[in-house]
Amino acid sequence: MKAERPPRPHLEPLPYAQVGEIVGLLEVVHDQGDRTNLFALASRLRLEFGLAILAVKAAEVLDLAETPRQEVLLTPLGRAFVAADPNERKRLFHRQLRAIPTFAYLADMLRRAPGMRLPAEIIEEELAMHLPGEPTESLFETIISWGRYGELLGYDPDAREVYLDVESTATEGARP
Amino acid sequence: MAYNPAVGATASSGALVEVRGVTHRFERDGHDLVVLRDVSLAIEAGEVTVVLGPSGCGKSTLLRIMTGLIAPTSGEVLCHGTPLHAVHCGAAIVFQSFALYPWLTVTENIGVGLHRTAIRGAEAAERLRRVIDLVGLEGFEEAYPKELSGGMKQRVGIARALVGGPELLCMDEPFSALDVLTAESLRSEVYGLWTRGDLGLQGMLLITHLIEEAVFLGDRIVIMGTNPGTIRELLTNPLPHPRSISPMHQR
Repeated sequence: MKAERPPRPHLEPLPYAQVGEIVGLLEVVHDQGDRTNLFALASRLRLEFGLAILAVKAAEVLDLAETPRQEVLLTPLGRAFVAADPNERKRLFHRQLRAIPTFAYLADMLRRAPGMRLPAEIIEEELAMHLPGEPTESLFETIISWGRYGELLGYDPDAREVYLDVESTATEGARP
Repeated sequence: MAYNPAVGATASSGALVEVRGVTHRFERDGHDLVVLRDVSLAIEAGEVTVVLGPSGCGKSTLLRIMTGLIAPTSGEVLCHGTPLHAVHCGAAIVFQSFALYPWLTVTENIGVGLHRTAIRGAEAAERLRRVIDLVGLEGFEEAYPKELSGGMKQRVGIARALVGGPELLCMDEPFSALDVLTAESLRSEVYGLWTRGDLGLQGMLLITHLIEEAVFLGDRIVIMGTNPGTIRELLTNPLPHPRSISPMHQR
């Protein structure tokens, strides 16, 4: 199988934060009036600073927060996310994922693949090739967990195949 | 306490569950250990009861007695006014440790919550679909627990508890194994599930050692002391609903 490759894009690594941490961070910042100092936040929550940075950076990659100097503030989109119900949050997250080059690239790759699915190894090879300095396993796990939450990518752990999650996003709530 | 619209029409007489004069002893290394002494407590419909206490005060034991998982050494357990001699059929439990089957997928783990009901086939599938949607697990249906973060694992635990349509949701330190940020987001989601009022839930019993959590979620707060576990104080939480701002950060 040799799908025609799009021009090589600039793939970016992702901050290895869990979706739950990102959402929790947004809610905490919202509770502080949509803006807070990062050091103060980490110390008040007794949260390891490195983990706080990862969650903040992840929110920034998704355009849900910005970090001028040591401040964290919610973007208009971040405020909309906090106010939204769980399903609307997922739709918003889905849209944001598509704007991230790494996800856009993988989604495109999958769209060209037969049945819109590819073995996990092919995705991992692709990531390793583009981002040789990154731990591929962590990157892959992050991509799958964000992708599943945003219902952009699916992963079948029995077949070890990644696929484009077309049904759930196209037809809300009508999964088999 | 009338803010939960689920309550009313279907509530039958008597507390959802009540213990009267319950004492419980364990035998440990030949010693007789009194875990609970003369505890009386009723979980009423329409409210969230929070049992707050330090570790070792017997609050988890109390939850197990109230749900019929263990029988007390002495004292009475009543479910809607009738003595409870088996597992409380209207109660579901969410555990701190998630307690998922590692060899089952997310959907299959949630489906375990239907095993003790008569719900099968198309209705089971529909219920699974709805509860997966409710707790935000769409996209994770085929994942195994080892692929999930703690927050997602506990979502599976919550979905498994809700899928059978329990009248009483019992949660034993449900957020204590999660990092603070994840705990924050899940706590407000659980609050959202309770206040939406259309799940058939009549009451909620939460066990915690966190004062802020008790204040955020509880309508009635039961403070327990240790050695042996006794009820020290029963408080009514006057904070109005909805409680949109988390008290976790107002220090």
